[in-house]
Amino acid sequence: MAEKPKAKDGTLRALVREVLAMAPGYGLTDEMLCRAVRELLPVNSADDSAILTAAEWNLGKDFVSTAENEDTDEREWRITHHGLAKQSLK
Amino acid sequence: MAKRKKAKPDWDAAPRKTHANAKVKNLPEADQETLWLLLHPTDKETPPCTLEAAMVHLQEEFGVECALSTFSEWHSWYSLKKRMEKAASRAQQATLEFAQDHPDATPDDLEKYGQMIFTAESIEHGDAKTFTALVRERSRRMALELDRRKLVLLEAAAAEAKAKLAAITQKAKSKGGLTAETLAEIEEAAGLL
Repeated sequence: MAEKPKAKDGTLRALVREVLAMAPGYGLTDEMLCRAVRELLPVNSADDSAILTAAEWNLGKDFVSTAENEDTDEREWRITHHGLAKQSLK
Repeated sequence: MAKRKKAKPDWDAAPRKTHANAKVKNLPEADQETLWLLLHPTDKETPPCTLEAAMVHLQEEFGVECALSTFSEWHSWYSLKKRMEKAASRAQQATLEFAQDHPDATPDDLEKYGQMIFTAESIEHGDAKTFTALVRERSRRMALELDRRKLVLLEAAAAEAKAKLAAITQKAKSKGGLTAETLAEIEEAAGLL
């Protein structure tokens, strides 16, 4: 059986921004972010590590930011102003 | 070998085709909402449209043609967008109510509370019941912490007032009674309470 095509890095990077831009000001944990991005992709076309790698790339470009939630000890991802501006250029 | 520079775009060339997915996403919000309601009617007696039927409406009413897979992608995207926006709206509302009930809450407290509500509202799958109980417990603890801070401030104010009144009483005794000046000092100390 032919392997399903994997989502491209560029696609994942854009989807990470798109998901976070849906609720600016609020953070998504790793699990929430990965689950949301997978909803926008064909089934089994990306695993969590690929999605988080895309998120890390966006972090390096200052399109997204992270912060640790003191109550849950979980990392939360948020879109930055730079990331919102990037989305508005589409 | 020298790197060849990329040719500058020919602005007179044919415009780039809009991505099929973007055609539906870029429809006015009201039109996208119309499509959504066709697929998910709020009226229980109205049966939901199939994706194929909604696509016919998309073409006839909005003049947009796309493949079924593209429309299905839009449907997934819009569904997620609605859930996220609803969660953000609920979190904002809950934060406003919390701020009204707890005027001593700092901006940091309100941000944490809003995030907690947003996370809870965003959960669609998994153990939502347990998480809701956890949110309630954290909310109760936050309210208790704010009350505790208020109590500490009140206790400090009471201690300061008590010390002032004790000093005033001592002064009044040594001077042989209450003067107008001493009365004014007592009023000031009482105002701390």
